[in-house]
Amino acid sequence: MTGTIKIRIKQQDDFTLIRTLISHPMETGLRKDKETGKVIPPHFIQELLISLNDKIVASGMLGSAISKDPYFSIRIDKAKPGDTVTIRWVDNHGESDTASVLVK
Amino acid sequence: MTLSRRTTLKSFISFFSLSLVGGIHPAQSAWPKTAFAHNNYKDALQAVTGDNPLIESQEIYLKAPELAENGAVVPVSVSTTLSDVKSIALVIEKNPLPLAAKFSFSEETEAFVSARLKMAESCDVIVVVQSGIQYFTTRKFVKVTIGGCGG
Amino acid sequence: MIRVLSIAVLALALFAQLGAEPTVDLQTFRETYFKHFPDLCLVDYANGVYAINEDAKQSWEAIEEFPPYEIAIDEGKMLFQTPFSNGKRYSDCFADNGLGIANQYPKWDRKQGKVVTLALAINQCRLQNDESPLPYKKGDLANILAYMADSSRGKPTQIAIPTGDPGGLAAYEKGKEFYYSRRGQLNFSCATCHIDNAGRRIRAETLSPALGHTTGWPVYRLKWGEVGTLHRRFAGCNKQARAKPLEPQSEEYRNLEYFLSYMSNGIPTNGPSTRK
Repeated sequence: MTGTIKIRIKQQDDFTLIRTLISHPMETGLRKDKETGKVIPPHFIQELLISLNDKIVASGMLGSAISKDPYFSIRIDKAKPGDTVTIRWVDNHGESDTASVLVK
Repeated sequence: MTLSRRTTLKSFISFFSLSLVGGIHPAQSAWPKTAFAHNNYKDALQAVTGDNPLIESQEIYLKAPELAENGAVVPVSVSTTLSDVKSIALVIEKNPLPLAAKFSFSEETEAFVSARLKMAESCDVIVVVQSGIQYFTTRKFVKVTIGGCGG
Repeated sequence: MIRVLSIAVLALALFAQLGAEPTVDLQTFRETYFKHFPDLCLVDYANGVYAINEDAKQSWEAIEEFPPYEIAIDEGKMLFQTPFSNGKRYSDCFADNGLGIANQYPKWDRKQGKVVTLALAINQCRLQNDESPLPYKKGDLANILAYMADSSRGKPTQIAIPTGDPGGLAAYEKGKEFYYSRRGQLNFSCATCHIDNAGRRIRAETLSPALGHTTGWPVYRLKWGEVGTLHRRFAGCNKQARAKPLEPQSEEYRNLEYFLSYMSNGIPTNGPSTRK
């Protein structure tokens, strides 16, 4: 999967706000297809990594109770213009995606 | 599942030329399958705290709606004035799989996280904050209705 | 004989009321709400139930911080910009290349003799260019609508009922009649919930006011987990009130959309938006 991660950086007085919206079904594996009656297999992001330049500043171990098209927000010590924020996810299928933005 | 873990570890090591951050390094980032498989919230809590006691705290601010707009997407945010916060975990009391997430932070990151959760029914959203070597908690009851016309 | 007469009198009275100027209707419509919710001004109604339910509003605002429909807008933009097999584009079918115009829909099309909604116009554009029409409730069409709506964000709803052609007014009146007619097992009209009981609860749901109902479409409904269209919602709501759901883009729903959109004239459009 590519192009699934949107990142928004907002510089506040004391911190940098990092928000992300990820396009992912986050299927629990507990639902049944209405038409076929079969269980829809689980397909959800398990690991989330947020890095500033080359350093991981936050990571998430996630379960399927995170909503579809997940959103996350964290606050880090003030980043400098030119710093890079990178977000990466890996799901239970072993699929992954990564995106980066420059801090302005 | 094994293949996925291998791929995961490989991708972590190859992608990040890491300076090891206290508490966060590749070997620890294997997904804790057992913790996420618990169907009882008490077991899920224990998976987070280990044998450590869970201490009620007034210093954790959990923002969640009184009545969820829709149980599929319940926005919550957690902040805390506790010091040296290593992680914040979210456990949903009556979900079939109560452990929703565990976020770990480096020193550069504030003790704050916001996420959107699925809630199967009205129950408590429970937060566990690891502050130093101790575990603190608070909870908030969120009402969830099923069905309805949407108003 | 007397029975026939009295029905005729009633029908005449109803007809006379239906024949009232749309501008008068609009004034009456707004005043009903202004009286009922004295703390709200016209533009507040763009946010529907969130203008009148604080807890829901906070939850909604948390989601609007980074709303899930952004994915649909990106998808819609890509679809909108992709040329048809014949090389032509959606932008060739619309004024201003199709951007910043969603607030003017639906329109009365004199030549076709019908109300043309933006959804219908998109499919007519496709048909004119030898492309197959898209389903009306969700998917690609909803995503294209999301992109086009987003390009009009903030522009006031601007629906015209052209004078000099009685067809437009007739369609408006039909839409209005539909709105106020009781239907289905529960014998509710749209007005029953959204005018007479706006702000009240029906079980756990707070009923949203009809004023501003059309501004935020298409909508990412948390229930749907995706962006869906207004006519999908019409059908769903009819079904939930235990009335017969009609086909999206049927004449009745297009006329209904025409009436309802006119009633929201002046209110800024803010689609796509998130709802429960």
